[in-house]
Amino acid sequence: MNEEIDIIALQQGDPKAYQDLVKTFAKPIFNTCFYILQNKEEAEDVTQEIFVTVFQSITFFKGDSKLSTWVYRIAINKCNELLRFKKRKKRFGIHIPIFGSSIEIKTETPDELLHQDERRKVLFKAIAKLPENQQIAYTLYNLEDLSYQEIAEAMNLSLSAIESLIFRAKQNLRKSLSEFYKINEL
Amino acid sequence: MKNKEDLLKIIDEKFTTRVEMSDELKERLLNIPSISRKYRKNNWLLVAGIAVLMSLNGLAIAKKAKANKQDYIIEQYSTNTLSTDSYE
Repeated sequence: MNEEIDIIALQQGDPKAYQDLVKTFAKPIFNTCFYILQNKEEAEDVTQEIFVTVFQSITFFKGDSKLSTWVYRIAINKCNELLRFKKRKKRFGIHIPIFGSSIEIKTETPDELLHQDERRKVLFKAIAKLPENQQIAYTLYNLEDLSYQEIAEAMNLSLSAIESLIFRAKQNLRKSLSEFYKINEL
Repeated sequence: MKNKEDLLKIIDEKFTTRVEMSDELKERLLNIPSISRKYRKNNWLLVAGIAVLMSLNGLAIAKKAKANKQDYIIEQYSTNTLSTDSYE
């Protein structure tokens, strides 16, 4: 991924280099955000925020890691922030509409947008219930062709921590899906 | 039971489907440098404006202080003159 982008030109503010960056990373980053956040509008907003951060802080990129790892690290941090914010809001926020029923905003989730089957719908619901780190590690592993090492670098965790996160995520998913199938007798 | 095991296989399947980005988002992403530069320019203008206002304010304070000092000296001088006169 990195080889196509001239990092020095990018740091000097070359528009062509920035266009290459967008061409290379926009789609994978958007899809990662979309699968993690499970909401198209939020994924679009976060993708924009990520690219603003990348553009503003590219001069601080020292080349210690691959450019893709660095971009993914920013993306993960942004998604994690939003996930935490949403979960905190859900825990403490009691929404009472003042004027009758609230207006429902229709957002597209992966299963709706990808016309997934019933099994996928259940899986995405179960993924959304996982702790943030497990959710991110599992999604990155299943979505992108990233190795455990790359996920570890992007999430700023050790390799063993990533292995453990993915293992626990799968265990939790197996538990949730088993319960669901038991109830629904699919 | 076997059916359930088959259903659980989905956990190990990769997400192969990708969602296309909207053209609006692509446009927004490509416009980030120009918007960012515009904001940076506006920020510099704002900082320069604040600096000008602060220096004007400083000058005004200094001028006022100088005027007050002069008034005080004149006042003191006239008081001294008056009191000297009263001795005479």
